[in-house]
Amino acid sequence: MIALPNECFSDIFIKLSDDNKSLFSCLLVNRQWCRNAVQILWSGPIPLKNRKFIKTCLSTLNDEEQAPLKSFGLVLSNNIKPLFEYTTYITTINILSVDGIIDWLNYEMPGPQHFIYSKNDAESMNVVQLIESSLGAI
Amino acid sequence: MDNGTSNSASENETITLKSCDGIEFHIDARIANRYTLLNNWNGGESACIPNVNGKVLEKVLEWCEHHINDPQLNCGDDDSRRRNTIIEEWDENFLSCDQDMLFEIILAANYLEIKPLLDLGCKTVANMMKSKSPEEIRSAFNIDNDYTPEEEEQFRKENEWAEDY
Repeated sequence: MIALPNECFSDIFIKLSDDNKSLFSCLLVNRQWCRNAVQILWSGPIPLKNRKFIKTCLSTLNDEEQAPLKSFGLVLSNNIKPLFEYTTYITTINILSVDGIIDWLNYEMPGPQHFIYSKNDAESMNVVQLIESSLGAI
Repeated sequence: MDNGTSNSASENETITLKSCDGIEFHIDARIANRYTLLNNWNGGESACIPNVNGKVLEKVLEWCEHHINDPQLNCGDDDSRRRNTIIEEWDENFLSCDQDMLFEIILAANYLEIKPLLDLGCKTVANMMKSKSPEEIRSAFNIDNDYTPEEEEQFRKENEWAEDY
């Protein structure tokens, strides 16, 4: 393939800005494609209810930002630094969905003795609010 | 809306452009009026367009000539133009060339600041990627994967939300 400058890649990937699945494939082609496509993917519409999305957002928190979560027993298993500062590419102001956070908690952070996080439980909502404030309005 | 009739050059006026490999083209001066950068190389005797060879310049000028009466773009149309992927039939046939030529046209349009042609080339490439897996894209464009397996796996995990959304 003839080498194209980065600005041409951005022009190409922006055509796929409403097609996350195709953008996802482009990210995985090689490093140059990834650098150009990742910003377009993360600056597009945000899946506020998706636990995998929430997981990646939380992985960008540094140790200091993670400390309040640890005090609630939420230890994030992200020893590996994320490859990009993804949340800095988000361009719209969003508030994560409570349902999405609860889904992430139950999937990634199961509580003791079959505890299930729920919207109707005060303790669960404390944890949800803590996560919301850790991530801020992303 | 400007329909192109306000261009100061008349229909019979021509200018001469020369490609980097010395091929001369005599074109309708109204084309150079629309795309300012082409005007910079008017008068082919001594000046030639660097980086664009005759074969590519011929294609670029063919496209410009076909679209000579198109309305000029307004700035406000920019965002929707950048994002849409609809291509007219003539343009689709025009870009049904081999892949190297398609990328050469994109490079030349970028270099010469012929935005609608750049946009068209980018749309064509974007449409070629739609609904393809990373492996299919690599093989369609003959691209090597330079990720380490660990890096690729981490990157896939960090962005896999995009697959379900």
